[in-house]
Amino acid sequence: MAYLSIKTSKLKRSSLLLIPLAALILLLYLVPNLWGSYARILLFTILLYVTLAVSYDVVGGLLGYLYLGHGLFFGLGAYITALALKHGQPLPLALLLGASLVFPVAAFLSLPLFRLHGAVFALATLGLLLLGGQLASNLPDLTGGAAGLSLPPNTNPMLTYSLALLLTLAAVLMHWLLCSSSLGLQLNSIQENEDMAESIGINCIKAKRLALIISAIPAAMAGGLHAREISFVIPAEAFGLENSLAPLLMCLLFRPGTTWGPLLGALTLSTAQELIWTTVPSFRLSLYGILLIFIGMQRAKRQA
Amino acid sequence: MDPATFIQLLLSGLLLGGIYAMVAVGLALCFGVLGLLWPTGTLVSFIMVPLFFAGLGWLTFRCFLQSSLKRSPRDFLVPALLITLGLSFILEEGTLTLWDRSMAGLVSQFATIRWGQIYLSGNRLVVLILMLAISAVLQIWLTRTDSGRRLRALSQEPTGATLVGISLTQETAIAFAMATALAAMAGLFYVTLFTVSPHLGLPLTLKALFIVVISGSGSLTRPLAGGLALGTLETMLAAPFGAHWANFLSIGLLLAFLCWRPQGLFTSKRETNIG
Repeated sequence: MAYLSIKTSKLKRSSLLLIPLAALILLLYLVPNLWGSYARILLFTILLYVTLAVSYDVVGGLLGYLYLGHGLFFGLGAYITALALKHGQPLPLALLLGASLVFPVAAFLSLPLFRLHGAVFALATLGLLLLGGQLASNLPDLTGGAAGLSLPPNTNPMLTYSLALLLTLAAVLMHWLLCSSSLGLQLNSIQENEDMAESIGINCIKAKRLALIISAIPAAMAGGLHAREISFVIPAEAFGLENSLAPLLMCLLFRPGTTWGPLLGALTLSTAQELIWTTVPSFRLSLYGILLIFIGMQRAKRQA
Repeated sequence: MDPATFIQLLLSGLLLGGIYAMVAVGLALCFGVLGLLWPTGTLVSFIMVPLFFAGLGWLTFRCFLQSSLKRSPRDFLVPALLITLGLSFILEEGTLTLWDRSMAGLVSQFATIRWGQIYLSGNRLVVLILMLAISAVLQIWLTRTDSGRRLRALSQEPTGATLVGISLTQETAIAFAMATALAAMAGLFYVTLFTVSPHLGLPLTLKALFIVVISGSGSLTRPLAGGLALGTLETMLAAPFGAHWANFLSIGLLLAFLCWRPQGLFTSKRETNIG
């Protein structure tokens, strides 16, 4: 397991952070009991966005590929979990089923995808997202087609919330450990110069495929939790472009390739979204547009 | 499949391909020749004069994209993708907000031509003929005029072309403006054939882009042929599988093709300049 070897000093140094962290987790757990269901739904949404942004960062930040396929795995997870729930499986099992089915899909898709680079890679992943949506609407017997799939009502919202909290913690911890692991460093060096990385003996294809798989699984579980929370999946929403774009913006807004960057981006953007929804609902896409232009211009400036 | 049905499908497919070809040729000018992108499909949802859009494209390039075109066009692609995607969202939401109808369409202007058992949509035929005419004009412009030659020089050897005094930004702005005008023109034709909505852009842009990447850079005839081929293929697939699967299969096939030969169908690995 050379890929996952981590300097233990980093763990020791950070043990001081454990106490405030535990307090924060406890607080997050208690919030729904203190402030009711609006706070729970709001926090649930933010937690999912944090998970999506942090997992997006593995491909979009550490590896530095412009990647628009995150929504595909979100949507797949949502559908698989919803189908499992519909057949009477408990939520944790349904989520695990989603993750374990998305794993081979990501492993398979990563093979042809990483033959591509740059803008063509981005467009191909976008094409996959569109294909996912089409597939879901074209199989009405399985997925309910374009009209979507309704689930039995969510009887235990606290369980969904706790699982979201757990998933977010796991995703953030995974990303934080990955940053200083050998795989994280390999991804970083591929980002800097792929030919050079290859020449010093890094198995680039293997590292990139691992990155895509690691990034896809939390996204699938987030999709599953989202499906459980709203008890309804529809292709246009589950495979919507927003599920790819929101994590992309959250990740690239501050400092891609670090744990705090996407974390902070997710907190900022999801709060901003909530404010915009309640005040000027027709401004949401334009906000995405403005941020995309801003990030694009920043990126161009950095390259020049 | 009896011969009449087959010919019917082939002809309808070619006519649908006219639309794809138009968008693809517009993109080929930008993406293929210079390596730029523009959310062409979103503009398809607008029904306005191509000239106006040429101006808009030129302005967009000057405002948002020019500053980032510092080095070779290749490094420029990813930022350009982000910026033009962002612009297309603003356009999409702007259209939704300012325009109260979410769908629109026009009544057919040209009569359907009947020839034995074969039916031909007059509208699509006009689109195809115009498309061929426009491509011919573009081809002449690219090969016979100074401005076209400058553009081709830049696409073949950016550094050398710049050294002999060709302005990268100015020529790119012209290509960009022309691609935008072509996209708007495709939009004009599109609305006479199908209903349009502000959301329509993305799949269309994606198909056109894939055609351009697969057919390789620096040529207009190849994206033209690619567009016609895709239209034909889609119509042929729609007959046995249904229209919903035809769309799925066409994007899937394009993707598979793209991954199989990322450098394009006609380019050797060495000379690729995209991605």
